[in-house]
Amino acid sequence: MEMLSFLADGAAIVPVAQAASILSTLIVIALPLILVAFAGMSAERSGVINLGLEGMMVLGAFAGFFVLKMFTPLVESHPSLAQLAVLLAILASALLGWISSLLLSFASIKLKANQVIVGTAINIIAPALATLVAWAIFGQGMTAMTDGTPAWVSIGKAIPQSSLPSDPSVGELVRFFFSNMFFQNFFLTTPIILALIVLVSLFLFKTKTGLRLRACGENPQAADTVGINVGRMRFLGTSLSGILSGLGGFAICLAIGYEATVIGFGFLALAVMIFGNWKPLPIVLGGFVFAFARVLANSGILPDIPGLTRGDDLYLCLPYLLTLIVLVFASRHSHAPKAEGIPYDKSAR
Amino acid sequence: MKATDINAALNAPLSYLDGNPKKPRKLNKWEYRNLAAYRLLTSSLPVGENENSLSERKAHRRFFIKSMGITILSSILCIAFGLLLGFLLMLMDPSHIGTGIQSFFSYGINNLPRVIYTAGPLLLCALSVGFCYKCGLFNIGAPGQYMIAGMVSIICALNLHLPWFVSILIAMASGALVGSIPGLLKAYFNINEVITSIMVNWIVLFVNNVLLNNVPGVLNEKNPTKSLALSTVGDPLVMLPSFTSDKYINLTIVIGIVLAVVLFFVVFKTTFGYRLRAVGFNRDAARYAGISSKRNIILSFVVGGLLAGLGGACFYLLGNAQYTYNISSVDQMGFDAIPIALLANNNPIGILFTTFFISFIKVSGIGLQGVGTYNDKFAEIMIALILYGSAFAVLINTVFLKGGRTLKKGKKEKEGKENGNA
Repeated sequence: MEMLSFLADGAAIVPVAQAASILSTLIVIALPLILVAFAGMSAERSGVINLGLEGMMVLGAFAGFFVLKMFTPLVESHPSLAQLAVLLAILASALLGWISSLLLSFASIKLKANQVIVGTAINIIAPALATLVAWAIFGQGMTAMTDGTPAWVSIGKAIPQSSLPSDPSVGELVRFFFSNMFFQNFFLTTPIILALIVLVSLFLFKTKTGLRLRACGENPQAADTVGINVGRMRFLGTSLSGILSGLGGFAICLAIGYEATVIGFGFLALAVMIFGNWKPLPIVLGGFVFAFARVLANSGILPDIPGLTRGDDLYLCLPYLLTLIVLVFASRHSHAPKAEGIPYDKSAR
Repeated sequence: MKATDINAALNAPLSYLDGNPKKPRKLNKWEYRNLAAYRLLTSSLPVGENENSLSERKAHRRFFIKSMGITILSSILCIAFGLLLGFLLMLMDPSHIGTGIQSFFSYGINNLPRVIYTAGPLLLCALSVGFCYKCGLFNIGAPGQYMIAGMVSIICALNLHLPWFVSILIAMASGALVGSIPGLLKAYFNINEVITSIMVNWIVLFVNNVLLNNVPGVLNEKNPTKSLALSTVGDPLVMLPSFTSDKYINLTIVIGIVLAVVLFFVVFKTTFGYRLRAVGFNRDAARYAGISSKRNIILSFVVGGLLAGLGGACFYLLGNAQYTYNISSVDQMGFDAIPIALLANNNPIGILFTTFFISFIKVSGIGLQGVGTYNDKFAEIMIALILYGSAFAVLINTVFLKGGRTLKKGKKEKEGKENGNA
């Protein structure tokens, strides 16, 4: 507290509020981004390239917001049911994410089709389908269904800036900072995603099934010879991928608002996965770095690039540029699953 | 396939006899190449056997006719699959389905100029995707090459007031530059071109936004999310010339058709095209035969960038086209080109015809607007479903062709056995 005494000044309120707000946005953006990168990882570790992350996210977000819309009248009369409705929305988003992943697993495992093309197709189908169904049910132009994220979705309440005295004490400021950091954007999805990130890493890297799944991404022929069902493992990988990306899509749309698009976060997640070299810990790190770049670029506090109007857009392309550079330097030590993208053919050697 | 196979395939035809052993003759250049390609594809390598000369030539001709037939058949199947599922989706509003389908087709037929208008840039992008695929590269970077060329051509026209053909050349160069990034990374660092292309697409999107806002004279002051329409410049030389009074008919489609024919010859009838395809078939084998895979990978991406860039320049150099500020999605045109290339099995002439189909669906979708609860998203879904189906079209082709091969092999083995028994 001694160290923080410089904060005991009215002038500190604005920067503290700004920092809290940025950190809060960072958490709510970074966690879904990491989750979707994990989704990409689980599919690619099993040997299937999932380029349809973006599309699966959109469909997941659509399902989630559809449920939220359906429950809005009920929740308004019974506010205590709010989090139950959110939980149902999360389940729905995971379910639709899984269903959309069937498009990929059927094509890539059963029919041995080109996975990159299938993923691209999913990316185009998803926003169109989400818009179409929403319009058919709620009428023309009702892409967003709900008017932004409903207020009852968020848990807890941040201390508003207006309630602070003009000359707050350090304790008050610290409480204000943490309350804003955690509760400005706190949804049920946040703890669930945290748990899932840990569980999926444990599943992929510490269980027998996870080892088998990874084996199918490295050398499916060898895996097959020791009795592992390659098709089933790849199905598991893509299903997990669909579930996670659907949920991630819903979670990210809670933060940025749903408009039948996830504004490129699926591709950003792909970049995070590559940046993280298909490994959980680097992915978590990369997710925070990329999300931080994105949040900073959107926050408007970065210095303007001299001589440019709306030069912030240049900051937005930093994550992609970074990925390209990392790809070049890591190309010799890339740990990409060796068999990713290659349909498993039993008769091939 | 082993590296030795291609060497054998390339060397074998030198001892080729034309069925008649009294009159041996060497193959001409085209026959030689086609035969080598056929042997590569079927991996049937009866080296130096005289009796197979005539039968092989026949088989070779049959093979090409068959592969073309299968490609056309599977493309039609894919398009039918997409349309049918799209119409099934329209059952969401069953009371209007009849009028919906009717207005879908009638709008497309009544607006053929618009179909041709959309087909122009689409064709160029599809040629780009198809050309790269011939070298075994998936050019998902076509949207990026298309966008950067569009922006550069707008800048050339609005800021520098250059005549249209100069703008096009500069824009194509920018497309090639953007296209060469994934090519270089693939050739020298062996990085998957799909990933790098996607990253480059997004970088281009944001760079374009900055250019839109900062290059003087480009932004439309009345609507600051769009670029200024070229027709406001007042100088007709900056715009792509239209040779009819119809605002939808312009030079793009003519350029596209000419290029499709040119590319057909480049890909199938020149050494450059042959080398490209050899690298596409088997990179290592091509290298073994003395073909530089690095050079060809970079070159094919450069040509792809030139083509997609030409598409973007032609689209945005029209009088009424405007570039829109966008941070959430990459331009759709390049993505719509992917199913076209795949359905046509990357054959430039096939791409020419398929483009009109896809363009027709794209335009017809507008006709659904206002009928019941339908809208033009249906066409988007249909095209995406066709793309989904075209992932199998490639498969259908190989299965049929491979099926023929294994059948023949089986027969031969059987014959061999019988001979052995005798």
